Amino acid sequence: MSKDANRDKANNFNRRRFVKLAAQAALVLPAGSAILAACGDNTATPAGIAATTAQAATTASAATTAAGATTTAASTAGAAATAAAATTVEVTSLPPVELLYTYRAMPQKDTAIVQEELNKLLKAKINATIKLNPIDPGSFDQKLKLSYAAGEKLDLVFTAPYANDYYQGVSQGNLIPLDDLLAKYAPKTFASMNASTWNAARVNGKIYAIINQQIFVKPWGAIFRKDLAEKYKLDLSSLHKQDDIEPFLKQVKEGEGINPIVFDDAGGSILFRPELYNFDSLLDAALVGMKADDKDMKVINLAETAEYKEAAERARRWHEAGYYPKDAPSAADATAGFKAGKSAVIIHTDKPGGNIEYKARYGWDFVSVTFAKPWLTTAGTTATMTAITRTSANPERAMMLLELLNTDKEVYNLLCKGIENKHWVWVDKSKEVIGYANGLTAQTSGYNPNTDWMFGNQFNAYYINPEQVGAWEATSKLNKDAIPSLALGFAASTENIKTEIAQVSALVKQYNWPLQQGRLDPATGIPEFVSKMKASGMDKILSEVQNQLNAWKKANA
Amino acid sequence: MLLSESRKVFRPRLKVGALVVHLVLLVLSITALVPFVMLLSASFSTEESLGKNGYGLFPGEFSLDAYKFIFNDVGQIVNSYFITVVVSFGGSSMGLLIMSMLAFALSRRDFKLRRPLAFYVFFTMLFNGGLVPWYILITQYLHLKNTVFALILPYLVVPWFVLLLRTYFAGLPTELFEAAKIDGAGEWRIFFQIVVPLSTPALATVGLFSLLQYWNDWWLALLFIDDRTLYPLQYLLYTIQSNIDALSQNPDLNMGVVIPTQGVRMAMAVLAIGPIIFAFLFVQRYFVKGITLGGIKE
Repeated sequence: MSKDANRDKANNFNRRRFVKLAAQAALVLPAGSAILAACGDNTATPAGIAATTAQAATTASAATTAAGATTTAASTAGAAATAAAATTVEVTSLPPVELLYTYRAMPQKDTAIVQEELNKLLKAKINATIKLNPIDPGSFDQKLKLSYAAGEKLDLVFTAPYANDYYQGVSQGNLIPLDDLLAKYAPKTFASMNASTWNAARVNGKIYAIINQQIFVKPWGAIFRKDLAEKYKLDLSSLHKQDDIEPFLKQVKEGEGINPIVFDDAGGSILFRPELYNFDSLLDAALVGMKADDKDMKVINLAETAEYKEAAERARRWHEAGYYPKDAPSAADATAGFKAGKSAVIIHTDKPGGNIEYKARYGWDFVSVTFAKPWLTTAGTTATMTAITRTSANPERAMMLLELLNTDKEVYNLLCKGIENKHWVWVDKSKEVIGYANGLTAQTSGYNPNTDWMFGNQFNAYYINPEQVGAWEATSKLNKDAIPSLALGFAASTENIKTEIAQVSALVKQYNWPLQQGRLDPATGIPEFVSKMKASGMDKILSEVQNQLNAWKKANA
Repeated sequence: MLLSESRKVFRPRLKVGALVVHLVLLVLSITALVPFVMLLSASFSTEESLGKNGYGLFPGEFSLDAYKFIFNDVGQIVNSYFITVVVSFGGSSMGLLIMSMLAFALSRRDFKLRRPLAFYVFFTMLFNGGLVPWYILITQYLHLKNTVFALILPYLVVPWFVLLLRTYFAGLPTELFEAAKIDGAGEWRIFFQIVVPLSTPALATVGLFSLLQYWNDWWLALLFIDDRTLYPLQYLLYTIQSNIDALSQNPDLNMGVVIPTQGVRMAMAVLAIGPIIFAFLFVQRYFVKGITLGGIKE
């Protein structure tokens, strides 16, 4: 009895104790976190102040520019400039909004300053401000997936089949159809491309993203070091197919004592490229494709074609002759080796202005030829796009912004290259060539995102190298003259065949590069490759894609 | 006589044994050191010499390019170091305090809510709400996005460490607490003046683990931090790395950006090792004892 009472007492005591303890803890914890909060505030303060001052600055400048705009509007209205007046009236009647632009790039030091400068322009043009939200490539997909899932407010987002998956975005309802908005608010952008080109971005007949114009076609060819091409008197006009470069490879191999073709473990300089043999690769990762001009649209396993075998045999021949290095180095090693003069030939695309890019990478002057017909395929066209999300509160204004990014050189180049005289200066204004501002280099410039192709129509970008002048016109012409594949606009949905595709693409990684770089004997390698593909469900992939393609064909007939 | 003789015979044998052991240890430590030296030397080499000669114990052609590339934005690096230090030391000391108090409560047999509380702690080891609800909780209910707290709070209480500490505390003699109580000590005094001093190995171990967890974390920053002024060091290095990869795949290389890719990778590793390596030196003497915590229970 007494024992029990004692225990009860003890329990009571303990309970009271616990409550007391808890109360004490409750007092101490907030105090602790308050101290922590103070620390946090300390660290956050400079940023906070900077942000508020920046905001103050933008609002102030916005106010002045808006005032400027209205006064000019008043004066031009008097001159009865109908078009200009119409747009300014429209602008002043628009409520001010902020648009969030999320894209895949490394943040630049001066992003905030460029944003401020952009806002001055945008305030006057569409009474909107932009908030630039660059996300590092390594975190881009992850962050956007979470943003979508959490229903966060976004406006413009970068999308492509390989980053922020466009088709997933459409099927999950994260992106909105843009056809009407495009016709109404971005007519110039819509008119800037062939009507057939837009088909590439259509899903179930609707456009869900604005295609950024850049090179759409894949002009596969060969690129040669200029010094060696001259030394061995290479006649570019005599080269029409890969076989034709063999004598040159031999000369370089014997004369220079190097393995001329550069390649690496990431698949460089492989000889089989679908477009080179008039294939449209419907599922590039699984080597599934069709002849781009095949009216029957028969889906085939590219590894089983005669063209694939032919290319692999050529690669084997070249490998055995020592035109390829024996082992695949890492990409960085390959680049370093090329710079040091260990390579001479790249088997890749020959695009307008491309040799300057190769020079930047490898440090040599190059000459080049192309062997491929310019096929326009879905994958090539949709490589970089901008979409508007479901959570956007102002899709109309977002579309107006897209129109500016695609047609207004001032706005576009501000975003691509930064501020005149701060980040860049004119080298030749008539030809639109720019250079770094005083004393700046690629490394020291505070704003050098270097991704024109992400922000809009790349053909509006200023040239950064005088040798490039004309490259945009040439590329634009290449795009316009490209032959649309009969399957343009078709993109296979991989939903039902995910496992098979994962398995087959693993095989492709394992076999395709070695085969097409000559490290594997095609006589045994290809049959092994094909039989393993079959075992991994290649037939299921082919029939699934075929069914989808048939349905698509019927819907778009 | 016999004894001393046998001792004489035994001694050289002992020496041979020690020699063998030392040799083995020497070889082991060399195998651990060589990659580290190679890392250092690679971080000070030019990209070309790495491509041509590969890695070596000494830089092929000495160059600071990799560090120049990373320190292009010195302010950012210093800032990130600062964030990481604040988060690591602030977070781990706060966490250690909370976790040890929680563990002490859980270790006390006379604490009534011991079982439900222990279950609550243990339950979160096995089950959680999943990434998206967690993300929504932190960003939309707690509004921690782009604050330092997003980097600190999630790791404040780690169930595994709590259980580790609880086991250790449970091994302390309860008589000690009773004696203290008789002498008039309250729970706070018992905890801070008796339990804590007796538990330095366990606390040092958990503190070090917690410190390392904060130091090495980039995942929380990936999820919750967009503001560059709040990037911790590891996430900054992670983004530099991923940006280099993206740059090397960027078709627009016409700006002539030449990056010492390999060297940068190595230099980043060197930077990330940074001051944290000294944390080991300080707590090392507790470490071995702490690691074998489970073993001392009677």
